[in-house]
Amino acid sequence: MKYSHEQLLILLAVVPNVVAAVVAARKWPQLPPALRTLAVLVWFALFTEVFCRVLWLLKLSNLFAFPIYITIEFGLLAGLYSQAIGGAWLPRLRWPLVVGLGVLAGLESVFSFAHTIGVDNAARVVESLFVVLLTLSYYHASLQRPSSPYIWREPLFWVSTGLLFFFAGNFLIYTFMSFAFYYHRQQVVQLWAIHAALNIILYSTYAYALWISPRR
Amino acid sequence: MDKPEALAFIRLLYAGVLMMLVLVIAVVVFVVLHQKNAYLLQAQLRQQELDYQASMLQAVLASQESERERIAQDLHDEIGAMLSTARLFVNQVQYELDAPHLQEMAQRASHILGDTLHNVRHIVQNLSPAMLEKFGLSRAIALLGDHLEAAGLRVELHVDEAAESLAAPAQLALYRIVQEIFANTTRHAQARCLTLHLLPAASQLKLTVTDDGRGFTPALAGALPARGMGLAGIRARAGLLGGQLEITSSVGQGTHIELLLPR
Repeated sequence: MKYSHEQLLILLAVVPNVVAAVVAARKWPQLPPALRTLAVLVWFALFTEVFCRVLWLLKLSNLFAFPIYITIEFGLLAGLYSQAIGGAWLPRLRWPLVVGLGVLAGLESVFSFAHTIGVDNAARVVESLFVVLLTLSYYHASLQRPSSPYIWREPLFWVSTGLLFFFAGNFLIYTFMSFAFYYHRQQVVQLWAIHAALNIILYSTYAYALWISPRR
Repeated sequence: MDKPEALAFIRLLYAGVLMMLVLVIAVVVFVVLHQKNAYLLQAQLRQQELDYQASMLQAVLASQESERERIAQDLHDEIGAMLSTARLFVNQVQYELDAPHLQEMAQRASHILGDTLHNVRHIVQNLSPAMLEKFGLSRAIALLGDHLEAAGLRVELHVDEAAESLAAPAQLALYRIVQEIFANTTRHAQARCLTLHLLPAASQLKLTVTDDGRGFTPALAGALPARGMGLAGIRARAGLLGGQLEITSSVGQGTHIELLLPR
């Protein structure tokens, strides 16, 4: 079976996730609480990826996993930033945001199945916006209360940079996804290839952040 | 080959993603550069604040020293001189009187005046660093040790000559620290033995004072006003000297004080 470049990229996108999961397992005893949340997210993402690929190989729909994944992913990221940024607003807004996103993703999933349309993206777009705001809040907090002159030595800087790349790109991809799905179906694979490239960047920054994580 | 509109769409999308990534890179570069500046500015402000606090502390201690000096001078020149004169008169009176009971009263008054004069001299010595100025640090500390021995403690002192090479303000601060430690030992420790070593250690000078008294819990010392103030004074002076102070003590285990000073 011959794969195109885009398909190869999509298939190989899981490799950095595996690397990040291995680094997380190796570093777990010395990880501070915020990075333990990241480690859990990495393992959860790997589990979901493997599970969805198995369903795909069995020619079963894996779309039902989508709302569950984005809700848990956003919940863990909000938890991570609650511990890292400090202040009262995020811990206060965390659960309403997570529950709201979960409800939106769930409703979207139900209506998508009802109309038998491939994917709808409102929840993913909203999640992208929220995560971009979280990362910008982290940068803002780092400028307000700098703890070291070299921010690139902070694990959370790499996590935030990876997330900003991934979700800023994702925001655009998911905004155009429905359009591409209806009018340029053959281009959808190229969108997934860009998504896979961003995924590779994200999990590489996760792996690096876990690797340089300070002791507890 | 792709339809023209499909090509236009994918190019538009690539351009959009690319612009988004460029924007992200710009944000990250901005944060990296400004975070470093913000950190340096914050560190500078913190340093300025510490310098200001140190200069304030120095000013407070200097004014405390000059006030002590003034009080010592007044005690010596005014009260001391008047007490000496009064004692002379009382001594004279006891030879002039015929009545034995009046002679005895005059003798008692003379003793009381003598003791008071002795106490005033002792207070003057404590207040003024005259001993330090006259005899140097080693001898001044030895005299402080003599006072402790007079109070009933067994004292072992070893002060190296290197201590004399310290600058005058540092000698004064160190003298005050030792004075405060000895005062605390006398007032609170109920110790029988005290050992003091002031010896050179590499490029530093190391002061160690150990007693076998009842000890205390250093973390709780701040809650006791008398001891808290004394320890705070020791810490403030040690900080001004750029020294590292470590106080180890626990109830029933005596007290060990170690101070490392730059030479």
